[in-house]
Amino acid sequence: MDKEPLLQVTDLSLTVPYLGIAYPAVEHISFSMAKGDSFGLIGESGCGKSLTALAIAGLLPEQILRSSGKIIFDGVDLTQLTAQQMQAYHGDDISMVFQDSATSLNPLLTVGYQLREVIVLYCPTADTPAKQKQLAEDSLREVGLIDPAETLNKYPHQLSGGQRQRIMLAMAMLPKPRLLLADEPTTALDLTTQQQILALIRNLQIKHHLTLLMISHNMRVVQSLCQRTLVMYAGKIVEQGPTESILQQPQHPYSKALLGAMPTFDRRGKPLETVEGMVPPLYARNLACTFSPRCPRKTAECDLAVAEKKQGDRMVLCNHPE
Amino acid sequence: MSKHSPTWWKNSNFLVGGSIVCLLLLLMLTSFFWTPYSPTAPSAAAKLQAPSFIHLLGTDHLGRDVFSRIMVASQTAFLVGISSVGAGCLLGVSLGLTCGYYGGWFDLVTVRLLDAFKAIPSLLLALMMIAVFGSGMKVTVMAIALLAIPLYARMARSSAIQLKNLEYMQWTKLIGISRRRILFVHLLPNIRSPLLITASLGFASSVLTEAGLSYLGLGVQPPDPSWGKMLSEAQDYLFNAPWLALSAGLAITLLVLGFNLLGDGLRDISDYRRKD
Amino acid sequence: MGEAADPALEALLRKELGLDLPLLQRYLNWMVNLFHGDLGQSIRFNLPVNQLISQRLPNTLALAVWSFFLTIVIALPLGLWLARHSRDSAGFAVNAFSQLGIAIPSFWLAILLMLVFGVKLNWLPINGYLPWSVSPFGFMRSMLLPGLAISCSSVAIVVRYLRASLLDQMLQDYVRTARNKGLSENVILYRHVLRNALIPVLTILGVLLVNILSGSIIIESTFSIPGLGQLLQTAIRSRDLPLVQGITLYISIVVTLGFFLVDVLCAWADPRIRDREIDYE
Repeated sequence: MDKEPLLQVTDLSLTVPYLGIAYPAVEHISFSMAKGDSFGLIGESGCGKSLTALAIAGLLPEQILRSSGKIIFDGVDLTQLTAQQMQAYHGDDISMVFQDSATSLNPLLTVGYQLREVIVLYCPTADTPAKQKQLAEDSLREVGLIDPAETLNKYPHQLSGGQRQRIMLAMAMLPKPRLLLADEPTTALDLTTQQQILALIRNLQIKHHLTLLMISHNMRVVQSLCQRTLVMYAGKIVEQGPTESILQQPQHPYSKALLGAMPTFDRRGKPLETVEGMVPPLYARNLACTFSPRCPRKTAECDLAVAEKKQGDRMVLCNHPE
Repeated sequence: MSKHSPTWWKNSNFLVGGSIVCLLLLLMLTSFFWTPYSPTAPSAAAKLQAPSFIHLLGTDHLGRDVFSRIMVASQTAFLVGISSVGAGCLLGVSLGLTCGYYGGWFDLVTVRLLDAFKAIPSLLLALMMIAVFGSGMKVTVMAIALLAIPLYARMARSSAIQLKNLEYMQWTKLIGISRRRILFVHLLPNIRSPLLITASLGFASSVLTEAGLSYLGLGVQPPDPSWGKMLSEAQDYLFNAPWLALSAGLAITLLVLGFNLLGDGLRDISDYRRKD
Repeated sequence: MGEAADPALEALLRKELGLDLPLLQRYLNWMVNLFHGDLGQSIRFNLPVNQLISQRLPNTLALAVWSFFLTIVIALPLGLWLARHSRDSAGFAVNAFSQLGIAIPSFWLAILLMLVFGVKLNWLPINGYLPWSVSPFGFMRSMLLPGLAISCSSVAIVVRYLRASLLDQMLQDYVRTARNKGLSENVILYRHVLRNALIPVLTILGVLLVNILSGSIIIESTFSIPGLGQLLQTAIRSRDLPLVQGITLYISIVVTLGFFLVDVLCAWADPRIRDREIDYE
């Protein structure tokens, strides 16, 4: 990739303090995205993918600290900015869609009001209330809501999960961000709605030349949307590469296990593969390779050090990749 | 020592509140046997003296030692508090537990009554009772005690309703233990902590109400001692002898503060246990 | 009537006051009169109860409303400031001050304020009531000390609740969304967080109302304010039962109305409550 990267995450580590000890939630992750790229960040709950996205968006909760690394967006290191300076990047440069739409919208304000906040800030062409209302309706129509005029007057609790998620998308897209971070936007929705939202995101991405980082625990979601995939396990990126390439030839034992556990049509009737054990909790991650207790290919050297192996546009963090 | 610590010996609310209460309790008990000077004997020579080593809190307009008077008046405050807690525990809790556990029309009627009482401030109700039955120590103590009952009843009722739906309660009913036994052996011990909290806060509130009533001259009447009455007498000498008002008011504030802190501390401790 | 009364005169008085009728009938008569708006005649003043009350009620209400106003004006900015600028550990000091504010009897605070501002510093009057209609500024000046004394415990309660509520709301997800939109911290606090944080505070408004009314009744005598509180005391001292009943009834009505208004306010403030009524699922 010889294009200037839009986003470059280098050696990022995040720690969670608890009772005086700082536990590593994300350890030394690095990746870079060029303009127009769409990456998938995949892993189980607790692997740190949401925290990574929050760190990039500058929305980390106060207690979580960045213990190392840089996040360079368009030439500026976001980690060195104050909260006020970071505020300038919110909305029109980096925007995020959250998983839980029910709690992510202010319950006491109408949808229309919350949309208008964004419009007033980022759409100077809509300078009258009538124009603002029109723009709000258009943006809701763009995300596939029928009867947008009616929806504008509703409160979040009066809408369904799918409707709310669309509204969140509309709110995130209105400022025309350059980078969109989507944290499991479809996990809380039923299958049909999921497909619709994913199609919607894909359309938006194409239409607005969006750079997209899609977070999910579902490989299918990533497959349909992302050209490149990052696999995360217990705070580390264990494999990186073009999505199709990883799907067909997973090198890390964890990626292989993830794919093996995906139900597909041709595996009907056969038992799904599982991996023994569980993701280690925050306080039990001091091994060189955190996956080694569950790994079928583990050897003695895995307890001492893990090698990062690069080959073309693929990366694996494993001593025994396939 | 931490602010909201769940362990009782580390919770500052509990410790500070408890110390204040113990100190005042000690003073009150001592006052039955001994006070530095006589609380009632007037002395023309010693009128309106400022606080000094001879008279710790000074003397009032009749030459009486203020500190001794405060000690003796604490008896009234504690009497009011203890009787309101007693009435609340005995009558209020049994009423509430019965309502909550048995339900039915008895519960419905009682809840309506309790709600009706909520609409009238307790001070006003106490005043009404004093209007009908006259003022004085007996009526005041009884009125405040009676008015404490709804508070305990409501608390006991909601606890009973919560507890009766727990699995192990339904199990006891299934295996046929008599309902009365359930009430006393199983339900009652479990409301121990909300009861302690209500008692502590209720004690404080009763003391405050009595002080208010006596301040207005409608509660406890002389020669019975009362901090509230002392405060209203002190108002006339505000300019010349401010220590009179200061001591009486401080006494009320300390006792109320002590029990409020104690109640809050108990709430912190029990909150933690409930989360377990 | 006094203890040394002529028995014949006493019998006549009894007949006149209707005290010779059986209890039930007296109660029914009272209820019937009530529906006609007739609260009977005051024994002490020999005037209709209604008249006596209507003279004094506006003064008490004015004091109560003024105290309420003071509570909001003091507690709201204080709660906001505390939530914004102090760490969670400062909760200790807040709690201590709050407890003190609740424990101090309002009538003692009234006396202390009188001592400091009225007597020693001589800034404010210590008695003498000026109704709002006569002079708004005079009203505020003469009612400042009583109002402060009454509102003290309410302020303590509101500050504690509001601060806790604000700190709690600042951790909610919608705040993260608002930040994501690029809104400034000020806007987030005042436009989003404050609204949500006030809702639990609204629910204790009823308790505050009762607090303030009880306080007014006592404080009126400290500052010689001609209101229902003073009237009530006179009535009780003279065993003027019709008057006592009348005043109690009026105050209960005010409190009930107040609770009703609080409910309406809560429903208006939180759209989720409005919909809960209609939702039959």
